[in-house]
Amino acid sequence: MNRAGNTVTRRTLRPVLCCAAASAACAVSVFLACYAGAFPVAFADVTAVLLHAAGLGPPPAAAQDNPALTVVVLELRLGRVVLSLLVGASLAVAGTVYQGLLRNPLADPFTLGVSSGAAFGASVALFWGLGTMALPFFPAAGILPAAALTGATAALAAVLVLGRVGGIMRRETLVLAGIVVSTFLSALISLVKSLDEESVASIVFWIMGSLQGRGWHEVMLFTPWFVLGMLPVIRFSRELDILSLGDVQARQLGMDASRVRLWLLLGAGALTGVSVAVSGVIGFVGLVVPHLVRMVIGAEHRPLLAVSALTGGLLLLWSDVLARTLLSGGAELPVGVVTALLGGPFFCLLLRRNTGTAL
Amino acid sequence: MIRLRNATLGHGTTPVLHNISLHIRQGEMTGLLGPNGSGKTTLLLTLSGVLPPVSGDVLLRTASAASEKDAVQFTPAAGLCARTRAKKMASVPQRPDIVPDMPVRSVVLMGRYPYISFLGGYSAADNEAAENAMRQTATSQFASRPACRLSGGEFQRVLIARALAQAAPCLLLDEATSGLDIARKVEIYDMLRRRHAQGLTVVAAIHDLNLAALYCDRLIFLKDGAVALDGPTRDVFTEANLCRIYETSVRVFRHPDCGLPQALFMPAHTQRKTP
Repeated sequence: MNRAGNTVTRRTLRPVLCCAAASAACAVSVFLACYAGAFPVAFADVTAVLLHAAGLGPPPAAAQDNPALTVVVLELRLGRVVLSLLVGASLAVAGTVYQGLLRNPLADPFTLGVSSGAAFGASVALFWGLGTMALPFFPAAGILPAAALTGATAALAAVLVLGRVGGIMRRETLVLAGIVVSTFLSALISLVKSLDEESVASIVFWIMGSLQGRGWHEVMLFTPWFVLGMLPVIRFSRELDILSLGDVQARQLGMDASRVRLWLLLGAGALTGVSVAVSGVIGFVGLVVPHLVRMVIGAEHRPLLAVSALTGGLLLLWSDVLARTLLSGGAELPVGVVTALLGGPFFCLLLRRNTGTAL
Repeated sequence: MIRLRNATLGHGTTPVLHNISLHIRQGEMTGLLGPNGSGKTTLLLTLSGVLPPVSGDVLLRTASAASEKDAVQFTPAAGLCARTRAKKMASVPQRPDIVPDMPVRSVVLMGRYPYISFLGGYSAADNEAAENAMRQTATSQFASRPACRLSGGEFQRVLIARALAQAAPCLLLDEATSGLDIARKVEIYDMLRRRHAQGLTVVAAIHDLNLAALYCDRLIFLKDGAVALDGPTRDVFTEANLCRIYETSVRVFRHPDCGLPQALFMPAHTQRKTP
């Protein structure tokens, strides 16, 4: 009895412990990540600048000698680090939602064609030479993310319309519609690329995903969409448990399955779309993180979503640190390459170790 | 409780059952029998409101005045909101295709979903109902275990517990005990019979003819897209009827203790050739 009691406590405590550990790791990682980069700074100076910015310390002495220090740490690095946390969290949450909703272990934020839509929007913007221009009424945003977000929204809308057969949205038709839309859009992207040889490099770099040069501007653009996307996900996280058992059981348990699924799709779509808009297509975070977390704490979605968000943020934060420090001489890798290089083999390992266990 | 009037039932526009009329009265324990593919699941899914009828009416009793018999009110089942319907009837699905990696307690608590408020979680009363349901199905001992670690039969009992937690006056079971060993089957049906004595209406699709004959007062046989037989067990459970419906040789005997009819099938190699 005593032994059984221990296992019970361990199982119920595990999500809480994971959540606490991941939060602590996030806080520490933000500090450490601001230290990494091409511009050499002393660790103590970074700490002093960050503590001062948080209102916890005196103005750092080193900042008087070297005014660039504050700019580098607060303007360039901290903004980018915060953005990487937010994007990673969004991708992981969207992946968790899609995997639960579509009951497909291979679903990720990009299954439903959202990434192809965003990539197509961005390609068109780059093709017309609008990549570096700012939006008329919101100069901080830039046309590129706006075009990507428009593309993502249009693709999601197309998938939702196509996936509705006879007034009923089924997960099988949704996945098929996603494949159709994303294949079609990929062909269009190739067309744009072959029409204009000059923009190929920037389109490719963007499609591989990168946080280079991104910072507080993008965080400002990102945050409202992040909040809008998270609201339905948080509200319907308990429903996600029931929906993951399938439509029939969900309706027998008294849930309006189609309506709840639409809200969750819109929420996850907003999170994916805005992530692609600010950072390009970053793969594997939304696929690997939910799997990994589910193996540790189980498939109950409320703890799963919380721990996945934190883990996804951590993964992207450290991938971005690698992306900007691996190459010498200030050159950067696209962070999508780093996540794929880390995520691919890791995922294979997980699959081999856990063949046969239920999702 | 449930009334079908000239209803054609099916998936989408493909009819499976044609023009059937049935009345499931409150407090009945009904067995749904018939060969594979005869439409038992379709009928149960329609009764639970998941499938709308292709045509005709499927009416659900929504209100009743205790004093006046005529004040019983019926509403189309598909028109009710899912939540209201789930408070009226609970379903135990056929062999589930997905077993979630969640604690058993969380799965059982899902039965309380129709009772939670817009932003609220499960209340103490909901937890109490879930614990009760687990006690009745002997699933309490693995309440904290992940459901995916259970055996098929154990998980079926969890699903029955979830349906009991739903506290609906009508319970629909779709071969809910097919994965259970015979002792567990008897245990579950004994429990259902006790709940039936307290007023629970039960409609159960049962593969096992003899189990149906032992526990159900009324049997409905489906065949070839129609109701082939419908009546009290003692009247319809006869050799002639069973031979006709299952198209095989069946002998019917009385149970030595309780006198209920029981069927025995005749393997071909044991049958004596009649000259």
